[in-house]
Amino acid sequence: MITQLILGGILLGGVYALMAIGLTLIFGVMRIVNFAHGEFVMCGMYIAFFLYSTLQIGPYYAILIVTPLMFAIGWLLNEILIKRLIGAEHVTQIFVTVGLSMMLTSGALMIFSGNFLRVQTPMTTKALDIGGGILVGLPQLIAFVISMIVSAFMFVFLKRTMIGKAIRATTQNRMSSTLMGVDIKKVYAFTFAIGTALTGLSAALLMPMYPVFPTIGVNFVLMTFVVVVMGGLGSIPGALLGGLIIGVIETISAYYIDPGWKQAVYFSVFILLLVFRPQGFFGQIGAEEL
Amino acid sequence: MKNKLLDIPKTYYFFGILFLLAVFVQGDFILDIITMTFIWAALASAWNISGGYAGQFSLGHAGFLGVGAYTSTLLYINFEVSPWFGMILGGIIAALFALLIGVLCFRLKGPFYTLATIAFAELVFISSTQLRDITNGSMGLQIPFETGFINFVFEDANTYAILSFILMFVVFLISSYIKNSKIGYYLIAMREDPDAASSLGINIKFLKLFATSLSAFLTAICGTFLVQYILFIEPANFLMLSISIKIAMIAIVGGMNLPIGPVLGAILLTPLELLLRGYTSEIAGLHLFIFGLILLLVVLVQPKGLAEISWFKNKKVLRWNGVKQNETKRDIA
Amino acid sequence: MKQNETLLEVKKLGKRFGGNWAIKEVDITIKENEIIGVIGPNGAGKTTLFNMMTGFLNPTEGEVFFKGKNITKLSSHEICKSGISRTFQIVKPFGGLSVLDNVMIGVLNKENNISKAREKAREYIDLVGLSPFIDQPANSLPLGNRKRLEVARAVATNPEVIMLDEVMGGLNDDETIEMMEIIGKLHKEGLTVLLIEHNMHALMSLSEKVVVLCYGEKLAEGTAEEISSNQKVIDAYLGSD
Repeated sequence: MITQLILGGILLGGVYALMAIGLTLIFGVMRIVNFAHGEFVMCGMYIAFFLYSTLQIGPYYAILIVTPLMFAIGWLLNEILIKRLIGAEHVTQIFVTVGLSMMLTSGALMIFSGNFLRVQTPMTTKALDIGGGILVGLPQLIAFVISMIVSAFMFVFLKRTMIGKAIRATTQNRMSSTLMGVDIKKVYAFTFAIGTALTGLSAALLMPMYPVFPTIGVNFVLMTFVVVVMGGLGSIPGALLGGLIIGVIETISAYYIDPGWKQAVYFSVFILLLVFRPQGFFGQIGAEEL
Repeated sequence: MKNKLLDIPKTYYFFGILFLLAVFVQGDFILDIITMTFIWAALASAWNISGGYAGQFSLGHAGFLGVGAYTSTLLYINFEVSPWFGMILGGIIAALFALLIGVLCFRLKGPFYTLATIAFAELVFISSTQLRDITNGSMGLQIPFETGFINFVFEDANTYAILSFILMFVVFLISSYIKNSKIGYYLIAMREDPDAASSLGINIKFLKLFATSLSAFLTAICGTFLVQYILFIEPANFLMLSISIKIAMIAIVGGMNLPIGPVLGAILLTPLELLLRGYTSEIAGLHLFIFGLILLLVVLVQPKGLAEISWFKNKKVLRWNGVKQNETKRDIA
Repeated sequence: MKQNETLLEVKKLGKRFGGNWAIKEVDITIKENEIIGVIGPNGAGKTTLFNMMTGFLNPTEGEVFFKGKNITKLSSHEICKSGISRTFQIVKPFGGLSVLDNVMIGVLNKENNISKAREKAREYIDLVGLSPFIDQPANSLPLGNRKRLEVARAVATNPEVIMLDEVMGGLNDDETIEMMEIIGKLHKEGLTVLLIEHNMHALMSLSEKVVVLCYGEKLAEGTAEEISSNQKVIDAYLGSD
């Protein structure tokens, strides 16, 4: 049983990792904590749902639409709003994205009402037996595989490409990278857009597994922050590792503890992390510095 | 005290008017708006001691609200302890809770402190829904309508309005006193430059703990007032994140630097919300959307809040200009 | 004449960052009402030394004694309360506050009453020559005045010892002379002064005793004349100034 749980957790954790990679990148580069990150996932899920219910585009094909669309939305949002937060007072940085998350949640409520909306294709209920009586849901498996591929891609992208190097340089030292000729505004825009695109991708992957409703963002944002802090702010491998661990913690605690307390488990983990090891596994930047 | 009375006559006239409203206005609907406005004003002022003055932007104050309300309610329902006493005990428990958070999260800055407070409040929320034997979970607890001063239950709506006024006024006075005192200046110094501040003998740790504990204590007391007014408590009404956001928002929109700011914020936003909720009830969520927009715009354009706009400013009351986090960073970006 | 009792003692103080000793086995004895200059090439560890003495950095080894009491582990605000104040190499004014309020906050260290503190603050502001700017916000001041504000604010805490970290850095010749006069005044009032300075002329003419640090170790100690003719010191600086 426990193997089943761990496996399930790891598969789930892959998607969490994807969400967290976006968040940790944004934080590492822009030093902004995006409280609306969960609502971005929600938006992606609604878009995926819409594509399926109106245009019959299955969620895995929808990825090809949702991801670039969210990239564009992220870029736009940065232009209109987010770039004004760089170097702003803490109160502005925190509460602009809090306000944004309120608007997104209530906007979803107004457009889609409070119903739980699901995407159900023949694929979504399939499960594979991988031996030893262990069952693996097909959507979970696909989500995991795609997450791993994309995570690996992100890692290589950051290491090998010029833009990737510019992003990493900015994470480590903003001032110096501008002196080295990095166009910081483009880096910010690009990073935020990628982070948002990744939430879109996660959303499309999650759609076959979970329903979407207007307040689902709250669940995601806190959990993603736990992953990011655990992995270390600004670290992609950390986000990956943290995502997998949180996935496992979630499936195990959902099984052994009353599901109502499930969230309490990772909130407690979160507090412990912030107090005792704010830099997480691989963090270069502590939760103490901004 | 006398000096300050002579110094700010405008503010006292202002409160005088509010008091008269509480005493003489009739009509349940409008008295409800008045009472709720005063309670939110007190809540926002209490939050501001920790958020505005000390720079600890908590989004977990609903936790203190709930602790206060549940403490006094449980003591009253189970042991017939007067809510007046239960209120003090609730305040103390909340303050201790705040001390714990403060000690653990002392080094966390800005958004990370905020995240930690959210996590704490969510833990309180989850506990209150899960510990059904004690709190009756999501079903909530009802306070019996047995009127009497000791019971803190009243028949007359004006009584509640007057009591809420007193609550608001007392919290305002505390906030004002702190602002103009040595602690007030030390808090400003701490926000401007903690290293410089400590080199001048300022005990940063003590200041933060003091501000957040006092804030928690007062918030919990407001919790008791609120539950004794509504006569019903359930986790969703007292402990959700949206409540914490609302409390912070009122203080921020009103103005964090002036003691009168949160009061003005409440006067502006509370009736607005109640009216919006009433008139736009067909479009679920519209009022939240508008509030989110208001918060976003205010914080982006005028983070010091509306009270800083000149016709609200009273020159004798202390104020300072918020400092941009890092001016050079702004140049680059 | 002055008592000349030992006021501040640094014993075998050391600080290691990773594998690198920024300060190693430094001993300094400071007597009451002395002016001591600390010099050394960049990276010699001067500010690290100051930070360890004022509670901003924990020493890896060694101890600091003030009036016989071990203050090594005290936090920065406790150090100020004990009677030691400092300025910062990169000035840290409370930018949004006026000059008056900045210095007043210093005075509040010993004075609880706001109005009395304000009055006292005016004296300190006068001492450093900032009275014409008394109501201006601190972030509107040019560097020279910010340095004076920094000194006024630190002195306003009414310390016995004041530690000035490159307080003349970035000042022009006139401003430097004025700052030297201010420091002279402080010394006359009975303060014990520790001075980190790159400006050799200023430091040498002010200090009764000079300590030279190099690569974290005490290279030499003596009067200004002894130091300027010390071959080791000259070599360390390779002809600077």
